[in-house]
Amino acid sequence: MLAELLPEILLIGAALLLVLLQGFCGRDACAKLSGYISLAACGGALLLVSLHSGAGVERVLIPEIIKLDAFSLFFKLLFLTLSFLVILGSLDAVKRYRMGGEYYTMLLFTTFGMLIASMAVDLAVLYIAVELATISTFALAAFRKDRQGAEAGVKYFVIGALSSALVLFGISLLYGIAGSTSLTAIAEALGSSSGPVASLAVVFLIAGFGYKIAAVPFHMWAPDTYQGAPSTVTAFLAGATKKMAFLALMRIFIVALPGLVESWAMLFAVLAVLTMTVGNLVALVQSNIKRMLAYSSVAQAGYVLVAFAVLSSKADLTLAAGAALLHMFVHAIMKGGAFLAVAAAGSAIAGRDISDFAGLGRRMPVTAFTLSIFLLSLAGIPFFAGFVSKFLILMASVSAGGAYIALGVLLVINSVISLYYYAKVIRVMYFEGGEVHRAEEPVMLVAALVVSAIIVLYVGIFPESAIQLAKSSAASLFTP
Amino acid sequence: MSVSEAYLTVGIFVLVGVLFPAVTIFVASLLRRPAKPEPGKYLTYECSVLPFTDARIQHNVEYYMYALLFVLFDVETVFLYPWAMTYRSFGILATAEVIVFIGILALGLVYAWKKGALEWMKGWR
Amino acid sequence: MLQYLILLPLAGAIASYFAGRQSSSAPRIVALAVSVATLGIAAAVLRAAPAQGFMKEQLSLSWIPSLDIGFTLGADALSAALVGLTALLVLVSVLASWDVEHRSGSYHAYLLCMLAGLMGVFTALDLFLFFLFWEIVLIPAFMLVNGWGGENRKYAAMKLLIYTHLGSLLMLVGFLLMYAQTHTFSMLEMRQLLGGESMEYRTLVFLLVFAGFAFKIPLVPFHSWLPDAYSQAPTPVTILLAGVLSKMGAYGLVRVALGILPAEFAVFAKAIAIMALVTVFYAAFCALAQNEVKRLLAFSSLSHMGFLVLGVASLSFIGMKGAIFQMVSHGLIIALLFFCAGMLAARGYELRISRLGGVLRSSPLLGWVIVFASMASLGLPGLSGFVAELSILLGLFREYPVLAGIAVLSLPLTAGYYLWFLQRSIYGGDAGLRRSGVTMVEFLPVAVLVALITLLGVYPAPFMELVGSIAGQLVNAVGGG
Repeated sequence: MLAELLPEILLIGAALLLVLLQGFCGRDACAKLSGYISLAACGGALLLVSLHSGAGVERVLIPEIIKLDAFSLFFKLLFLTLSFLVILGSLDAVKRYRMGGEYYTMLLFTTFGMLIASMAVDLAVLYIAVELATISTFALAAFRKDRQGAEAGVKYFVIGALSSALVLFGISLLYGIAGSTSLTAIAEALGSSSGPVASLAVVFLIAGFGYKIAAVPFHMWAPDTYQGAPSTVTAFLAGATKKMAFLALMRIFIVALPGLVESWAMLFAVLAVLTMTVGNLVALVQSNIKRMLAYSSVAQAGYVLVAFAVLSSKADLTLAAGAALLHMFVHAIMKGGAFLAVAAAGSAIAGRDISDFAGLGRRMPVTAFTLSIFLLSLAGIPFFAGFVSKFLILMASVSAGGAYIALGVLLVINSVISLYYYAKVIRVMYFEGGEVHRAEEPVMLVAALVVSAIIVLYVGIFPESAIQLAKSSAASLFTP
Repeated sequence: MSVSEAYLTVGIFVLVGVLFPAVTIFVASLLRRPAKPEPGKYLTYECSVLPFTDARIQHNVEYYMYALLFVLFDVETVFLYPWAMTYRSFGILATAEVIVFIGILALGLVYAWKKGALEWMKGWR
Repeated sequence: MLQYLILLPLAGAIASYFAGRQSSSAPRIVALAVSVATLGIAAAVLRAAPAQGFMKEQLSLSWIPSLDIGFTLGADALSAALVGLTALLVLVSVLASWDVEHRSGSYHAYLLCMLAGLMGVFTALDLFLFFLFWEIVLIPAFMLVNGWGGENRKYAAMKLLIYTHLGSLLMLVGFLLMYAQTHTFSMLEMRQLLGGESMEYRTLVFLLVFAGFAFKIPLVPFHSWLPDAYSQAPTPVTILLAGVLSKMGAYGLVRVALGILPAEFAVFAKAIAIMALVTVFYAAFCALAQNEVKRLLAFSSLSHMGFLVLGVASLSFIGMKGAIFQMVSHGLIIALLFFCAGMLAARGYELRISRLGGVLRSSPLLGWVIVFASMASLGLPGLSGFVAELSILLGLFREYPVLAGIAVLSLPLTAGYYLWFLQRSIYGGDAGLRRSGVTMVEFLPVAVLVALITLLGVYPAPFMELVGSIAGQLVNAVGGG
């Protein structure tokens, strides 16, 4: 059992080591050392996980509580990749903002919580893991010690606590019905009956996690928090933490509540339409790039919800769930990358308005080029990863037929709207602004950007292995 | 317990839930303000000493740190007690787990100590 | 062989970008070399084009097997003709942008990217691949208009991007509905599998797919991006927009809407014909009212594209041949016209019809070329435009005599706006510019285009023979003749 948990042990060990370390060395030296240690731990864990994912997985570590399957490995891969990239990028940013080594400690704790959450098949464990990850991010969101940073932290904290309470209430209702917090036990106890209490539980769970994934109408915190938090942290929040809530939703609804699929898929459909439409329309008028990306993040969550809604159809369910998984992975990399690029631009540009990015194409060519790749990918332009995953979602919804086609058409129209604000940034970067001087680009951030861009391009051009992985990971959810 | 009984429980719970704030608000309204108002009656009651500053003063942050650490180790005791009671029957694995648990908390204490959270009124000396 | 049509320009694009870092004149050499080489390959493709059959597979690589998507390329006479046209017009465009100095590395890189994408569109045998190339052409077009366009370029570029993107995504939904029933993206298999009657959502599928092409061609009322994009784009790019990108829409209409969904096309043929006719007249009237040369040419191009669609919608053998002929002929003529507009601008003329004048006096050769091109465009017998439009009208008469009768009325209108334009700008008046000759870089493409237009006009038989088989196949599928 310990062998399978080695990545987690490595992470928590490194995190605890960092706690100890903070007391015994000077602030700047410590931050630097902590950065390298956490990078090594994350890289090691990533290596271990990717070694694992090849073998025929599916191992029950603690019966009914923790299970390692293809689904959890997929998310581990996602979380660790993004953590690795964020830590890599932070090596520059931490120095610049003089954030202490505690920054990395919090990142490692969050990652650890997310990894546990990916394996949990018991509501209580899932809840605790999600909380562990979330509470650490509260501190991260408030790392900038100015007005905006404080606003970001407080908003995130209050909303996070509220949503956790909602989730907990939903969980307690399920426990009340089934007498157990194990997902499979709940599925057995519920069968296909849908009493009012179960429906109430569904509503509470969706509302609770709806806050965490920033689905409209639960999204109001996201732009303020994403704007106020340091950009590297925002990359982590938008890229990884949000996906943890999606992970929990998928695990709970597909494994524990398959009998109620009609009702929850309907709710997801409504949320999907609202989320993508409102997200995209509001993103159109944003002048701050971080807010724009935040609303785009909201809209992209809507695309994933489309795939959730399709789960109630008679069509290929692994395709729909796999499309959702792939879009989460791709979105993590491209949105994480976009925020990291904003962080990189921050070394030469003071403002965060889109107009401040004028001439970035000549000023910081690598940053601007990779940011363009991420933006085009977010817009769903072919040969970028974002297209592949959006295409899969569209394929799932269109092949489901009937009203699902309408969902697909709405997705398409939203995608067109979104192209406007992504293209606007590219235009500003390359075709506006007078003569500018080359600025030095932060090395570590650029390394993180280039790695993310390569992933985006690779998945975009050779999507086969990624699609296979996503589909097989999704399939493991449907096999008990 | 039959279904109707279960709903009865929930019903009573809801009823109490609604009644409690209603009654509280009603009772509070009886005590709300002096029947014959005069300035002195509006003053905050502090053991018959007249208040001399605003109530919203800034407390030293060390109070909070101290309280936080206190709560932490208070809760630790809560976890340790049940383990201690069943120590014999749970065996070596539970002991190892508790040692890890205490170790993590101790790590936190070392961190707090090194960061100076235990030094009282450090800034005032 | 077909893959080199795509790979070579892509490699050229990268080379051109890096050449641009060394000097501002190096990229154009790279672009010229690459486009000449591509033209060579295209000529070989054209020679090897099978006279028979609907798309012959030439390259098939497994790409995304889990979704039944393959990297398959193929060609038939129709694609070969368009491949040749594209290669030629990109070469013309490269020569037309000979004096681009401002960030020339990126400029030529985008131009070559566009070439790669266009080649992909015309040779893709897999609908998914077709869509990918279709979409990717848009990005360099957006960049080129944005970076090197006229005064109002931001607005025009964004409009171009959003409109055509909307069209293509709707088209994608249609493709996916087709895929949901056949579980293949291969055009050839779909053609076999999609029997008209048994198909689900057949009307919806056709309308979605048609919308994509209607946005691209464009047909009224999907055209509002066109005048802005054509007039604001730098002239070499306008050559490609009008000459080749509009052909993407026409190609898709023939290849996918008619080739794969013939039964549905037959249902909507009359509606499409009426739409095309509206386009013809609307654009012609708009052209009459224009004062700017590039806008006039834009509307003229739109009007001629309407004619092309009329030919397709006639669903007759001769009309179809005429439509395919028109694809090439219109590409050549409109390229020549825009090339001349570029030459005018290079000589310091202001491109407003009211301010132009005396071109024949100050640069006689250029003046005569403009006259020639306008005549070709308005359908002077003996030039290629005449052959195309005559065939289209003949085909249309057979199926829809009334519509054909109305369509004939547009010819004097076309003649009207061209002759009026010539009278005001070329013959009369005087813009007071010094006499100027024509450089070699300008003369070469003009000579080639003029020669081709004349050759196709005088001796269209070989080309008609080449596309005869494919045109016959397409209309036979719907029972036309």
